Amino acid sequence: MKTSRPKKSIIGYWILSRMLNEKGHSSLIGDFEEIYSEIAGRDGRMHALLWYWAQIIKLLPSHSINAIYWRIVMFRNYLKMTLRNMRRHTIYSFINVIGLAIGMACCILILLWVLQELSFDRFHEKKDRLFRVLQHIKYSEVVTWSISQGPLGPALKEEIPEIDDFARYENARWRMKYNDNILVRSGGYVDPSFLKMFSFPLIKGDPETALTDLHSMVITEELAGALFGNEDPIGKVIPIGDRWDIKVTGVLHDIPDNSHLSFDFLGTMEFAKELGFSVERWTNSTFTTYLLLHEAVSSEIVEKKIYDFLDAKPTLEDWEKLTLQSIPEIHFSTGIGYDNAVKMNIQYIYIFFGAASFILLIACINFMNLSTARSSLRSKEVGMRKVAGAYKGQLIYQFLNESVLLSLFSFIIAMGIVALCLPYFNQLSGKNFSISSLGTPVMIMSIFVITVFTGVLSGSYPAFILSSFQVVKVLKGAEKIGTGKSLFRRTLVVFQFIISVLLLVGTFVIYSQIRYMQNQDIGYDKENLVFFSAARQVRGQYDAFRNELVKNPSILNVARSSSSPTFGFTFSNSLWHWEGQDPEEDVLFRNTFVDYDYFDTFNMEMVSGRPFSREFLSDSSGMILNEKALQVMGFDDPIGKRIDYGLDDNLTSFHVIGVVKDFNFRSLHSEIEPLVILLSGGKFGWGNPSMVYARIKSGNFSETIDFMKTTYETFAPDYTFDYGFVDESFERLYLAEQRIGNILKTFTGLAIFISCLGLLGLASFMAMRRTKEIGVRKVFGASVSGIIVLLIKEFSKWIIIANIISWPLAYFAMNRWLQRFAYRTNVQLWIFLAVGGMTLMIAVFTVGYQAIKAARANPVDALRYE
Amino acid sequence: MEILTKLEELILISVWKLGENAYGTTIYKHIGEVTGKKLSLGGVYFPLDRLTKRGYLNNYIGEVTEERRGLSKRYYKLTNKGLAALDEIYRVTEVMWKGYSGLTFAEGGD
Repeated sequence: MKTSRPKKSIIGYWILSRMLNEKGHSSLIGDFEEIYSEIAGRDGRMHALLWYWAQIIKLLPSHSINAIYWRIVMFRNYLKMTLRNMRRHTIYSFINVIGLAIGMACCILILLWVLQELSFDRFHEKKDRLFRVLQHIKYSEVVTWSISQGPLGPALKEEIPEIDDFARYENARWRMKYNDNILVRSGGYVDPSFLKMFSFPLIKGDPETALTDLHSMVITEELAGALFGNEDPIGKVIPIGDRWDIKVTGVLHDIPDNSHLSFDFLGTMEFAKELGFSVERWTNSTFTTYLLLHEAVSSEIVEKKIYDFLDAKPTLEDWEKLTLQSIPEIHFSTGIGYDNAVKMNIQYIYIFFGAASFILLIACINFMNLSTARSSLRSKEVGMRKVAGAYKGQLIYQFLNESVLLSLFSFIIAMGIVALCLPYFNQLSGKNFSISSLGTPVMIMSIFVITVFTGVLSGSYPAFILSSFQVVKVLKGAEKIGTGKSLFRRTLVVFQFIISVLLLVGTFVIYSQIRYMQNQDIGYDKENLVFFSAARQVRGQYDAFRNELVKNPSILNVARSSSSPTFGFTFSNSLWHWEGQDPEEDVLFRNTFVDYDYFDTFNMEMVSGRPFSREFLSDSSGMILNEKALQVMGFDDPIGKRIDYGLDDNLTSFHVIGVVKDFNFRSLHSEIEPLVILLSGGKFGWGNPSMVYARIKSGNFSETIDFMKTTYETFAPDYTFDYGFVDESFERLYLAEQRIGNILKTFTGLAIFISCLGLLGLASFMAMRRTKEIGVRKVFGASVSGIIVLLIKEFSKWIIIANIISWPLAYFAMNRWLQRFAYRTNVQLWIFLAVGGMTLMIAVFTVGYQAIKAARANPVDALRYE
Repeated sequence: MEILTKLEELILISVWKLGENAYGTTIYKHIGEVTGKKLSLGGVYFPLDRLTKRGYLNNYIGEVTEERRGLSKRYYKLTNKGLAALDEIYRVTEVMWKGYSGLTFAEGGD
């Protein structure tokens, strides 16, 4: 034997000492070492190691049972103490539990929402291989569209072997009739491959063949119920519009809420071709093209191949580039034109998530503040436990245990709040959650984590403070812990109010921006203006229809246009050519068609020239520019200038007859763009535009609308009169902002409420602690009001500091948010002053009662024990 | 008098037999040798603790050796209650086994 001392098993020794140390079992470890050395000396180190480890493993069960037994014993004691403390200090416990419960409920609700947003389009089995084609076109700047040409999909599949399949999607709006049941629904025209690429499973019908027949459709379960009731939809042939009969060949599960595509039915692409969609023309982009890539092929490689393929096609010079967008990315993408996907701005997710966590944090801070403030009340208990032999670690464990228990109580209340508030939350968020949405594994896990995290976070600081009391001082009563002006506690209160002020300023700014957009002069009189889309029959006899309408004295004027008020153009391109044009610059012009009555009906102001007039035959080749378009073209005297439309050698001439004052023809998120207004049925064609606008007298809306409805329905029986007000349709554009504003408003209210709860707790505690001081002051002649001011001043100071800190933060954050609007209000000074005043008032009210009570108390009561 | 488990009995007897040299390692080895079964060392210690707590054994800290990494031995000694218990065990066992002279198997073959 060479070595006199065999090597030790380091890890084993460490484990043993961890397991056995606390109960003073060091001599047992010594025994282990002794036998280990002996075996190592006799049979070698391997044997010894094996023996050592076998011993450790044998030791585990009895050790852990022992440990668990003691944990349970202690836990029962801690539980008892927690309950006693809760009962003894009802108000504090109430503040803590309610605050935490509200915070948790907010977190749970927001989490529900965030998880649903993040799950968008992840239910497609082939999601990793599915891509949407994006088109990037270079005008004066690059614009990105989600639409592409009809033949693109088939061509790409033909050319590029990495592409397994393609499917095109085009929006459809169908009027369906079954017996007396008439429904107008939105859906899509798709290629048959659509059902195989995406995971929209069929309940009835065969996905392979459902959409192969020209006149076939699949409908969702919901639409099937609405249309056919309990009858079997398969094989039913129903009229679509007036001319077509379509057979139902399949029933889809309802489309999940977290799908970027939403439709009630699917028709065939072949049918779209029959209807005259440009399925086979390269000149028109209207389709969304989806590609299914071969397994394990990167999208970059395919993008490169597409680029080479298009490069070889000189006719498509307009195309700057095509890129592929992965399906799950669609929901959060921004800046894509013509995109009908259900979208969400990811910033809002951050904002809400932040707001919810802040509320929880505020509640946790309440807990910390109140527990440390009251720590002196428990210092005796801590002292006794220490005398009885408690380690610091055990005390920390006890207090953490207590806070986790409290957070468990809060969790139960939070679940109640969630259940109660779910309908309200659905309304706020525009979602459709139910209690069962909480039952997913991710949700349960998250809720569990939130609960434990809340408990540990709010308990950690008090546990640390309380467990570090010095026994002798505490029991002698020499040290009154927690009575001093704790810097930490003040910082926390200031922090709470910083968050409240931030949220409050945010809410104010969002609402003032919404109001700004609603009140913004959009360039014409948008009130009392009704619009509706005319059915084919109405369009066919438009003049007679219009005559009928204007007979009613309440209807002042009626006009037609090819575009809706909030999406005020029909096509856009850069094919206008004028004298002195910079050949390098490509400007995107929006174009729309209107009739003679348009400008009168809208009350639009002409900057120069005149509107279209029946008296000038030459107006058929006339055009009207908006100021922006004029600015782009750079004419000094635009009237009568010739402007050509078309590609190089195939030009049509128009001449400018007027310039209209800029008006907003899209949402105020975007700038006014150059707009060309042409006469419908003039040289450019487009003789029968579908949007009808009627200027009506204010008052008696319902009578006027009824009259229009009756007239409309005599011209187009079987059609429903579906109308809107122009001002309302503009307001609807800001629905997203409204929704954000509403949610934030709720959060802000809650944040302030919880902060005030905390303040209330602290104030009452402070008042109690200062009873003696106040008594002495009164004895020496202090007035009641003087003492109230003294107490309130203390708290007001914190609020003012919080305001001063958060104002610049709020200013920068909200200024950034406003950048997204082309037309925006400023972050105004009055908002800050109002928020400052409000928080101060709320705080004074919260503290006031306690202050008055303390100040009015009889000094004799306070001082008689001295 | 409480009824002890077999292992506790064995440990009490071992402590008595080992006399001055009764500590974890020796007790463990002694029981291993006598019974021919492999115990776990920890398995010896829990009954030792229990017997100490119930007053059958006393313990005191002993010397340190090099093989023990500087950890002291803990020697065990029988208390009066322990001695009484040993006596009781012997007496009971004797009474119980009276008349025994090897086992006879009633069934023959298989």
